[in-house]
Amino acid sequence: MSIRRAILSVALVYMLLVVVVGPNRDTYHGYLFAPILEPAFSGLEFGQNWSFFAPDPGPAPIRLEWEILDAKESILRTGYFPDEGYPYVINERQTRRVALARFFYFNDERHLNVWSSWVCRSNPDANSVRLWKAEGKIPNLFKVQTGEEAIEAPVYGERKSVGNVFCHDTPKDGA
Amino acid sequence: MEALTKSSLTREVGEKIRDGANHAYAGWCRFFFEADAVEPMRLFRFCFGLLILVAYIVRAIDNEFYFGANGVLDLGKMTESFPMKYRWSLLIWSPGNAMLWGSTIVFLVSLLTMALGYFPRVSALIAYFLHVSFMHRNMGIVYGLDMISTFFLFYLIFAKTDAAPTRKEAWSTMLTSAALRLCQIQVCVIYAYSGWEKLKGISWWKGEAIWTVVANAQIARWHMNWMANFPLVITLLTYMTLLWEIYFPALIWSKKLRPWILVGGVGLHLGIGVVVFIPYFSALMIISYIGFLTPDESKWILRRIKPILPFARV
Repeated sequence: MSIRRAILSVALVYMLLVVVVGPNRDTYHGYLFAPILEPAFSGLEFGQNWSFFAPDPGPAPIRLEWEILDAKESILRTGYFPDEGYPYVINERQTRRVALARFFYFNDERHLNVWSSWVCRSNPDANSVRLWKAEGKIPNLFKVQTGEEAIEAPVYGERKSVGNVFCHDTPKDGA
Repeated sequence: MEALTKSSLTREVGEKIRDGANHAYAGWCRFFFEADAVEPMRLFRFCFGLLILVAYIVRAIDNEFYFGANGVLDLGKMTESFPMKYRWSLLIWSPGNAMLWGSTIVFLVSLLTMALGYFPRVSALIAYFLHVSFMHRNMGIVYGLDMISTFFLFYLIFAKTDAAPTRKEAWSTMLTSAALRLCQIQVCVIYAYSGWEKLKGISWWKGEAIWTVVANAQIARWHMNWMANFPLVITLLTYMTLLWEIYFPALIWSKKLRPWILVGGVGLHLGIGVVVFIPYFSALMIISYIGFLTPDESKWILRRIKPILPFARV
């Protein structure tokens, strides 16, 4: 038996374990192997779950919205992310923006802590920001057939509050 | 007499088990270490390298927004609200713009040299290291293209594609073969999990999943209202996608079915690439099929690339 083949076989068994267990790691066998596989899952980014368009394609169109407030809680301006439509000639840019919006949309804590920081830094005059998340809908197949609905630029009808965040440790005068 | 029979029976069973294990190990070795892998891996390295080079040049346009010290993810807050155990990044250790742009340039150059076949293994190693470094700095913008590229870059570190194989037992020959097999298995695992995961989804069972993709105006390229008039086509496409993904990992190994399975996959991903805003991801999946081409098919394509790009080591 070739020693080289035996050494490579051991390495291959480990790699195959990573590849096969990685997508299904929140299971009994996932936890069983976690001590030896977790460094590869997180440190080398081999712990991906291949759930493309699964279990259902989605979500519906989403976006992050915000209001910039002054010290008297008046709205200075509003904004949203990602931009409407596809303003980028190379649409790969929009793909990543949608991914980033989803990253915050589905985790309110992250939305409040991390996204708010960006909104505050982009609006130096803000005393606080009020964060929202808005969702559009996917038109029903049969209603599109009958002309009751149509696929068109998303309308973000459902809007949920995420929270308010002060932009400065010490509120500005008047707060 | 009885004892003798028992002992000979035990010996016989032991020998059969040993023979079976030897046979299985020989098969394992033949599969993983003796594949004719150089040409398919060379073609794959070239196409994959060029594709992700373009994709990451485009990402670099927004470098400072995604990865910069004043970018969208405040470093301190991100490490507080995202699991960072084992996750490392040059851009976390040194968050300045000099490191960001320096890493970007080295990353893009390493992808180019890898694609063109100049120090391909070292280039793949550098590219992999920086790729993971960028991912860990901002996991929010990571999508399928990045996830799959991680594995392929890693496998290319081990594939010696700039020279013909030397001895059968040489490290490089066996590693190149193993790299090809891992690329093939990776594609099968991606489809298998993606297909099985879809079985949990109601819209896939109802035959409406394709509609929810084309009708999602945030990800679809056009407003395809006309498709609503062909609900049977939508149902058919939904079930075909489901069946194709689930059975790909088994059927791709059949020599007779392989061309048909690959043609079906190219059709599926071209369709996704045209309809949905993920063209690079679709192209990557199509390129991943190179691993399933025979050495002769790969050579045939390489011979046509060579005159167009004489400086490329393909």
